Amino acid sequence: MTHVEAVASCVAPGGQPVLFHTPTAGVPTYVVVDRCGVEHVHTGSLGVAMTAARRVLIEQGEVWVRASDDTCAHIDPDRVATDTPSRPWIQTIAASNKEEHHDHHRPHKQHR
Amino acid sequence: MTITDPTNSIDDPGEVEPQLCWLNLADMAPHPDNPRHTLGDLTELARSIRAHGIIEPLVVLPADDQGVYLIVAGRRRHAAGLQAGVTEVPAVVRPMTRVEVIEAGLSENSNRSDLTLSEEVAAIERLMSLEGGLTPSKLCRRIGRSQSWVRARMAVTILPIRWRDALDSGELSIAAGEAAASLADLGPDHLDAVCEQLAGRTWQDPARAVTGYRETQRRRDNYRQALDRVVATHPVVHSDEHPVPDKARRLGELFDPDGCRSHGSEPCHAVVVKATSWGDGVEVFDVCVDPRRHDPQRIATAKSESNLASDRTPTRPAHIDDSHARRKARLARLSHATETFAKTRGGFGQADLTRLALRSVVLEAGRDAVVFAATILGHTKPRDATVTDLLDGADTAAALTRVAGAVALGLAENRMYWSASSSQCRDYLDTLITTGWTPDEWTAATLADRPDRD
Repeated sequence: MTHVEAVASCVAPGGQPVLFHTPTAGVPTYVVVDRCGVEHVHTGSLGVAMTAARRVLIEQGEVWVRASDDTCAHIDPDRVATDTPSRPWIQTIAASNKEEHHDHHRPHKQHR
Repeated sequence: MTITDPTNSIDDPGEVEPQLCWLNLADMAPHPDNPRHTLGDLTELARSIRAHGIIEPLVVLPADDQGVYLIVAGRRRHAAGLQAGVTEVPAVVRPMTRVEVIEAGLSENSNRSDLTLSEEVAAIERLMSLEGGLTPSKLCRRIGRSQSWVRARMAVTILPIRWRDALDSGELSIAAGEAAASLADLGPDHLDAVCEQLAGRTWQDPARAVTGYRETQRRRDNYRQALDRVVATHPVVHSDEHPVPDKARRLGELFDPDGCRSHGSEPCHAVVVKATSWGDGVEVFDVCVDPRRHDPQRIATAKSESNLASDRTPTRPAHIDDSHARRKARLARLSHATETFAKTRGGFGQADLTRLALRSVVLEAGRDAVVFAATILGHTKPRDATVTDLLDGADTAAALTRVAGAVALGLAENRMYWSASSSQCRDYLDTLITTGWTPDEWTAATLADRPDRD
């Protein structure tokens, strides 16, 4: 699993730092935010959010994913940074990022 | 459409007309953005091409600087043609952007169900990375698929790579993968675990299974939190992992149910945290695991007289733990008050009241306890003994204590199996002996066999 870097404060552009992360009732929702503060996708599926986030990551080099409990992760090509590294959903995207890296380095299965 | 030689350089793909022509297979190469990565078995197709040639033209991009035509549609026909030894094939040279190439590949192949799931997922990711502002709802219109089809394939991208491969092999269905991906907020370990549960179980409703998994985790977390809270505040905690000895727990409840809750910080006090399958999934209750500490013989008699009307519990410093002392004093006061009450009511002594109370206790203890008590007390026909028989002739406090002890022992016997290893029972028999009770032969032999006496 990719190491999740703990930072003092992780706030998506256009957002405000929060004092308390309130637990969400049920399944959380996620928002993908780019460096201009534009919210791209609102979704309850972390997979959908990460697919959109990877596109923003390719375009801009960094992206933020914010959950409905006000926890946030800043993703760039090399690392995942957050002020709440113990959150399970952040662990999931860190593991997913790690596997994406591995996948890119795997030999391509092209038949010519 | 015109049939001519293809042009090599096209500046604006939108303005150039598609051209049908014959091209050499050796001048063609697969497009790198083609979603298909596996060609499958080409034997049948090669045999068909050998017999009839290629009937449907391939679709290619105009030749690049090296004169290579990148194949948009017809990669299998190209490979099979090479295998069949065909040199020239019909092809439509059509200028297309990279996005159009992926869309065409995705639409054409997925409609035939030829692409594997991971190829579809990779194509969707590639398409989204090339086309800015392409949301899932726009994407599904572009490739002619439903939103749920696109969303399912985007959702499974969060699964570990092992399980994405399992989607291709059919070990995990796309519905199961999508349902499992909804647990991404629980962490990667849970994703693995739930995929493991769903793999190969096609008869199971994945959404229901995942809901059940989430609920189980919620209850497990509740239990763990409740256990942590109790462990932080109590010295002795028994949990599902370290259960309280059953006999000790039952003895604690039997001999002193109130006392189990009245001496929270003493060594004999324990708290049991049990996971249950309803509500919040946790049950917490107090037990005493050492009933010897609550031996009635240790209760002293109060020196001063009590007045029920004015008697109040004195205030005491919070840091002094005197729960046992308080209980002793309370019982002593009640005992004295009962005696005073009996005398003032004319003729009722403490023994009479005790006898009355004991009668109700024995009735509640049940028939088996009465038979057991009658056996211990030496009745000739214990099976026929009644409560009245037990209490007949027990006029003194010591005799009533013997009856009470025998019934309590009978009750204990009913709740647990009599065993030579039951130290609690042996201890209680010792207590009875000190009050003047004589054990029968079998009980005496059991007591004599005590290992710690040898």
